[in-house]
Parts: sequence; C-alpha cells; structure tokens
Amino acid sequence: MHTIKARRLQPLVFLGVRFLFGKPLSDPKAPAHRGRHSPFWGAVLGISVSIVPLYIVLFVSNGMIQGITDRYLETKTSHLQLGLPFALSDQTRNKLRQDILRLKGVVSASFEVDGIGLAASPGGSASAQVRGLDRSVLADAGFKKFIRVDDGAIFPDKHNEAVLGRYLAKSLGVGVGDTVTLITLREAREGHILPKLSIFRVAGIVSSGYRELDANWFIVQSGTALRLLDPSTAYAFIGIKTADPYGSALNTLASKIKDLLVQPDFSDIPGFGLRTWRDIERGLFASFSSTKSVLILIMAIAIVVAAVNLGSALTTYVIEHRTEIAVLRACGVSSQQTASIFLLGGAATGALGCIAGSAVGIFISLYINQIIGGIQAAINFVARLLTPASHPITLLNPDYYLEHIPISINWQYSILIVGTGIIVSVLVSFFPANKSSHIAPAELIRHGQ
Amino acid sequence: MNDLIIECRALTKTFSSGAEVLHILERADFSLEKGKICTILGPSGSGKSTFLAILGSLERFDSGSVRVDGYELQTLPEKSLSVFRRSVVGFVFQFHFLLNDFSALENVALPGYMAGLPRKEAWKRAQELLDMVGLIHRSHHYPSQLSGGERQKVAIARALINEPSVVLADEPTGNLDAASSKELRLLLQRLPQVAKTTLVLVTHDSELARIGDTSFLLKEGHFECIR
Repeated sequence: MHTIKARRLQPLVFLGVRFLFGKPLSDPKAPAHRGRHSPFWGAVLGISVSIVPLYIVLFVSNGMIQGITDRYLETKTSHLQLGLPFALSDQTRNKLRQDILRLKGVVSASFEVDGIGLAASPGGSASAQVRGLDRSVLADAGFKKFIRVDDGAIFPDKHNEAVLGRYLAKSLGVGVGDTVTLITLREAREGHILPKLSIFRVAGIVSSGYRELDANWFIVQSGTALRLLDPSTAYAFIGIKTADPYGSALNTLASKIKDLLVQPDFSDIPGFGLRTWRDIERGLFASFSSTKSVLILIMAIAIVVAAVNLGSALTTYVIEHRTEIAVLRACGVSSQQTASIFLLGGAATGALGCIAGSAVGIFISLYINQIIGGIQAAINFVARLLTPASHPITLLNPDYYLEHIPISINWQYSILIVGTGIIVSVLVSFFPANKSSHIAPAELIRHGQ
Repeated sequence: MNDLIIECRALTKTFSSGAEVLHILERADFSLEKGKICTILGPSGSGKSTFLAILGSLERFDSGSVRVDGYELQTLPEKSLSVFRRSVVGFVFQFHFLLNDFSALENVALPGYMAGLPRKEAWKRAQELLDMVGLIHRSHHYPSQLSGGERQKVAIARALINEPSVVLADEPTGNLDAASSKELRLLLQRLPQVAKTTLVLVTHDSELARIGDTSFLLKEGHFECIR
C-alpha cells in the first residue's frame, strides 16, 4: 500500500492553463479543435479592453490635474501667500520680501495686488481679475515657464499699460496697441462707493495654456493696482515659490515665515495671513479629485463586468466539461485540486487580461496627444473629401482643456489595477471552482451505460 | 487468505427512482486474490459497472464492507478517497475518456504528475507505458488522431501510471472492432505480469471473459462463481 501526496502547485498550473487555454500553438502536431479557440482568450480580451480606458482616464486625468495645478501654482496662486495690509510701506514690504528670499527652500518671492474690475472696449466688455504684479515676477522661472506671450510684452512697462490674458483680449476684441477701459470701485467719503475709470494701452497678450486663467487676467503694475483698487475688496500679498510645492517642506517653510513675522522689524504689520496653495485652491482641487474618483468608479465597474463575464465563461466551461473533470476525479485528482485548477485558471485569465490591458493602456496614454491628433486629422481628411467646405473638427477643444494633455504615469496605480483585476478574477472564479469540485467521478460510469 | 486484495462482505447497494427501489447488490460477497484476473459477467443493468464503481470508490454503497488493498472503503472519509483512487486503483472505461487537448503522452502522464511525481519522472514513466502498450510512436498524437483501439490502449497506460494494485476495466472492448478487441485482449491478459497488478474486468465479450483466472456472474444482486 503506498500513498503519493500531491501538494505541488506546478501540475495544477499546467492542467489549469492547458484546460482553459488549450494546446500550445507551437505544437505542430496539435490538431485544430476547440482548445485553440478557447473562450478564455475572449475573457482575457474582455478584461484587457475594460482595463485600457481605466488607464487612459487615470493617467490623462492625473496629467490634466497636474498640468492645471502647475499652471495655477506657477502663474497665479504661488506656493505660499503671505497676505499683507494694503497700507504697508514699500520699505517694510521690500525688507520682508528680501528676508523671505533668504530663507532656505525659497526660490522666488514677489509682491502682488489682486482685485476685480470690469474691462471695456468698443468691441465688448468682460469681468477682469486685476493683477498688480511686481517686476520681480520676471525673475520667477515657474512664471516664465508657463506664460506664453502671444503678442507684445510679458509685463507692462508703464503704469498706464496692461497685459491681457488671451481670452479676455479675445472677448474685448482688442490687440496690442489698442486701449481698454478698466472700471474699478473705490470707497469715497461717507461710505459711498464710486466707480473709477482708467484707460490702459494693451502692451501684451499672454496665455497660461488654460482658458480658466486666460479668460480674465488684466495685468498691471503693482503700484497702479494699489492706486486703483479699494483696500476693502482687494488683496495684497507676497507670492512665495519653493523648490517642491508638493512636499512636506512647504509646511516647514510656512513655520519659518511665521517666525520671521514676529521680529521687531515687522511689528508695524497689524495682521497677516499665511496660506498654502492647498488652502487657497481647496475647492478647485476637491472638485478635480471628486470628478476623477467618479470617472475611476465608472471605469472600475467595466472591470467588474468583464470579471463577471470571466466567471460566466468558467461556469459554462465547467458545465460543458463535466466529463473531463470527472475523468480527473477518477484519476485521483481531489476536489480541492479541481477547484484550485479553476481558481488558478481564473487568476491566470485575470492576470493576462490585466497585463495586456495595462500595456495597451499605458501605450495609449503615453501617445494620447498623437493619437487624438491622428484621429482628428483622419476625421477632417474624410470630412474634407465628403464636403470640401466643411470646417475642421477639434476633438478636444483647447479652449476648455489644456492645449497639450500632460501624461503622468503612476506605477503604483498600475500595480493596484493589476492586483485588483487579479483579485476580482479570483473572486468570480470561486463559484465555478466550487461547482467543479462537486462533480462526482461516478458520472463516468453513468456516461458509459 | 492473506493474498486477498479485494474482499467484499454483505455488500448492499440500492438505487431509488421515485417510489421504486432497485436492489443492485443484496448482501453480496466477493473476493479476489492478488495478481489475478477476474472477469465479471451479467445481463445489462445487473449492476456490474456499479460494482466496479464501488471497488474504485467512485460510488458509495449502502451497507456491508469493502476492503481493497487494505483500505476499508466504508470507513474512508471523502478526503481520502482521491488518495485511494490515485494510488490503489486504475480505471479503464468502455469509452476511453481521454482528454482531447492533451497528447497521448500527456494523457498518460497527467495522473502521475497530479499525484506528485516530478514532471520528468511522470513523462518518463508515461513513455515506458506507451512503449509497453505498443504506442510509443504515437506519443505526441492527440486522441482525435488515434484509432479506437489505440485510444483504449492509451487509457490502459493511463490507468497504470501510478502503479495501482488493482485495475478496474469496464467493458474496455465494448466500442471496438474485432481486430482491435483481440489486440486489447492480449494486452489485458499480460497486464498482471508486466504491471504487477490485479485486474477486475466487466465484460459482455465472451472471448474477453476467457482471460480471467476466475469468472463471476452477477445476477439478482449476487455473485455466482462460474469458473
């Protein structure tokens, strides 16, 4: 009497793969029959196809959010904002700015005054965000990196000059050299609010590459803004940039700046507010984050559907191959081993699908700009052939998105997607695996009768 | 009687079909010595295949005792049955039941591989068995590329891969032509010598029945020794 213990995984993998995926294609003697057309290649394809959009959505939305965040941080919000009283003397403000610049980790610091106004021209009118910038902003590499000059100058050289955002200039119908009127409100005596009209010559038109920002920028010199804007509605601050706005060093730097402000030199500052970019743009980024979460959830449902299809294919396979399973059971394959074959098969199908889908998803994500450009060109080519007078179609209108989709590949997400795909595949394989383990070898005897 | 490899006492098996109860085996006794060939004959529906299934632990029985190579099947828990099947018995069915997606060599090697033999050893042993049944040249052919007789020979080789103490064959020539049946008969006849095993053979084929050292007729739930 002898017993042979079968505890190894290899035979189960061998059997599972061959059972579900058929004979190796390299076998020249293998006759063509159902093995080669295993439904599990279909299940692999289903999972792959469901994974691809998840990658694209994830990486493109990550890239978009990153691109938009970078533009906000480098061209508008800065990494830290130190709010200052309007009436602070130039001397104190400059001293404070110099002291901040000396702090470790600070790469630039620039004074700015922001307020709102109404810009008008013969071509139209639009609300404007008045940005009174200091010339020191030109030393900021981040600002210069993201600001593209469409025409004219990047900064107004004179107090009566303004640089407009691309879409503000467009809605006003003005170009460089034209004049625009800016209407701001100032508090007069006895609490009366009076409009103040100021005429500016357009010195330049700029773009950050993001319409939301370009739609209302009205850039003037900081001194001009201090004169035009009312202290009760405007906001003066020093915009501070650091080497890494996303790291924890930002909070350390904020503490150092707070320490600086308690020094006697700045005792004439009645109050100050120090905020990080996360505090300032909290609402915007919460909106980005929730939009991304909803998209991922929708895409994840597609993976679950594909996995359920896999479970269905496995169940059908078990039902159709009861005899083969009974043969294995008659040959001494235990019910646990039978179940393991289908669990491993499900896992292998899920893994193959996830890996193939990941490869395709990452590839498409990396080349999404070229792919969209290619599709757009193809559509326009066909449209021109059919109707020569047709206007070109733009698939992703840069007026509403970034002009170039930045792609941010996150390998941790990739591992998470593949891992989740495999786990879901194994979970849906439990039912067919359990079903297979209940197939009795005695069925063979009845089959023969 | 220490040489008894199979010993059944008061074996009872019934099947229920609605209100009707079919008595397949009624307190039947059966025993067989090691290394012998035993053929079991009987009319259709007499329970020959069911008896074979009970010996191979494919089917449970109602009462009595069955001992095969020291295993008391009535006390064997469900989990141990697969160990019993892979190490004590080998099956040959009327229909070959080979796995279509596996070559002849793989079909033979698989039960050994699943039982824990290293892959190389399982494949080597399978080749030896295919050589023994005269099909070494067909090792890499698939069931669909083999004749009926060849498929049954592969099934016999598969039954022997784990060196079973008992081979249970259920009408192995039932689907074969005369020439193939003869070839298979000769192969089965020398099985106890070459594979050092015991053969229990259920058949309708009178020619095949003659190879048995002993023959039983299963009738009305009882075994009657006819040779």
